Amino acid sequence: MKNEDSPKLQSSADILQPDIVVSQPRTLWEDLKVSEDWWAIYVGGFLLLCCFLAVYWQLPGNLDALVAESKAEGKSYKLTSPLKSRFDKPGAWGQTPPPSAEQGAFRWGNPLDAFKSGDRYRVPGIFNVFLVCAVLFGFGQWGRGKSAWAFVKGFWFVFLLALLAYVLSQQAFVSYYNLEYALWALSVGLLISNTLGTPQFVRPALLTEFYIKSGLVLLGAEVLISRLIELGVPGIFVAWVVTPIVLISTYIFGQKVLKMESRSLNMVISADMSVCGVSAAIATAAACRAKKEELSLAIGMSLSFTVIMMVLMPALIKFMGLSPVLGGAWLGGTIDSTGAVAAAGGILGDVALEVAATVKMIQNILIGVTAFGVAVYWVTFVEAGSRAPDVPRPGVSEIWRRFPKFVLGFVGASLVFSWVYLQWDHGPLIVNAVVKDTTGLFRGWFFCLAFVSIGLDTNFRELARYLRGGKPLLLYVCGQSLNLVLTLCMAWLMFEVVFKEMTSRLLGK
Amino acid sequence: MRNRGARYLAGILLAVLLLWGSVFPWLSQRGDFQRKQAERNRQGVHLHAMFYTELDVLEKHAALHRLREESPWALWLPWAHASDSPDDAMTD
Repeated sequence: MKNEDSPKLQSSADILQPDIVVSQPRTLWEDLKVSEDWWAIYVGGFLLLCCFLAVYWQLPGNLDALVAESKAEGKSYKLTSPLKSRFDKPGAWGQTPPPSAEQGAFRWGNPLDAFKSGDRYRVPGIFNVFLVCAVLFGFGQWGRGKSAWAFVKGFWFVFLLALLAYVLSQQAFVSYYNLEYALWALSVGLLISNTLGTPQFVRPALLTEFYIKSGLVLLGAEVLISRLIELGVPGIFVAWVVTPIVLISTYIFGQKVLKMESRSLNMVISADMSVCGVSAAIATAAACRAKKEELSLAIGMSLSFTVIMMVLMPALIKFMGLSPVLGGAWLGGTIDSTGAVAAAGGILGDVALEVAATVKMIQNILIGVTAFGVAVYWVTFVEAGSRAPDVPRPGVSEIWRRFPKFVLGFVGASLVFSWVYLQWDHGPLIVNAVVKDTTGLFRGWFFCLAFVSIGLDTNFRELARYLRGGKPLLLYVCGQSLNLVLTLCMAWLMFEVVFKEMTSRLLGK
Repeated sequence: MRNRGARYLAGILLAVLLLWGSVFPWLSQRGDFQRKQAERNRQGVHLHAMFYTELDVLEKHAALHRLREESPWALWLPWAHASDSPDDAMTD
């Protein structure tokens, strides 16, 4: 049922939808049974629990001794999840030098290399991921009163396209320039939908929001609050003081000066530019109910500017003669993508890389606060503010009804895993094994499936509509310019003035 | 209309095959690219990292780790010195 008069009465289940749909009020029990947000929490929570228990039950009895032994040898002990070898994704390919590099013998690219890692084949692991996804999301659809069979019939097609996107992104040259899977997943989806058209049997498997929200619940386990303090006061000031200022200023600039038609597009661009690129865009889009096209646009812009900044900024830092510590902090606070920050920092040297990656990590953690803050702001002020003057402001129960509940799963996972990381014996080892070996992999697959679904559900003309007038581009450029200036000023103040001695010591002076 | 779409699709697939099958492999087999790639691998930089948990470099933390070992308060108090214990640094 569409209702153009009260477009803001949509439920959280309708986020990222091209059409605004009004939901009927549901009781909490009904909501728990059929709401996509709650099912995303069940799916994400179930996976987190399984992956955690797999590591916990297999903890070596002599873990203390093993850790002490490694430490005595000057190494760090690494715990591996027993599920690591069970699940996989396509690996890097096209990296091998030609057989006789001196003669420059040419080797054709072989994408099948992406399915091999040494002597091991990745295909069984990828098939296991397919099975787990098909079962979990199929069960979720069934639980929500929809046809699980219709979902499974279309899901294999979406999964194959996601697989193709991964293979394209893992080619050495493509990967070197940070053209990551999100871009290729969107592209292959758009290619199919705008040439042959998306087949009807695939449509029940285009569960963009379900994939995104479940992936975000898994991402919550990676938002470890305790890692916020790794760069002390300078890190907090550069990443946690400047970033919210830039986010809020850019959003206000978009509304008041550029007069952006879509508040959600404004918010998604402001967040992905100021926080951490694609992951922040996904989290914010889900929190503020952005449309699919808006998320695609924000990610496309972010990835394009990331490539430019990744190449230009190290050269600019060298030209300006900044120290590796200051340069690294500037890179970490401004370049959107985490991988690109590390690559750009690496060009300036190991110390710059370390500082850049640490600042970016602290900024990554801000994603939890951002998603929660945006969700609260949206349901309390944006939606309430756009109601007719004679309609009263919504009460607490109404705000709760509209609140995107998956954010609770995201924040909850972050709190639980932060607690394990900080309080448990060998917490960092356990959390790293869970996150790096299993849940991080599933999170990547879920987002990849979501981007393929967005592509399959998007028309080029719809996308082009948002670019008219160039406002999104202008917003990004102005916001990023402010980000560059403020971050440089704060990093200079922290690393070159207040903590000058620390910087000297980091540089080995 | 559908035929035109199929033609577009075939053209793009051909371009993808050409790029990923020959152009990108040729570029990635050049000596300077191989050197840069080897340096990134040494540094533990993974370009595909969407989140910090996918970066190996953060587990090394050589310079920061050394700094924290030498002076635990150096990142918190600007006046902390290498020889300070946390208590000394607080009362400096």
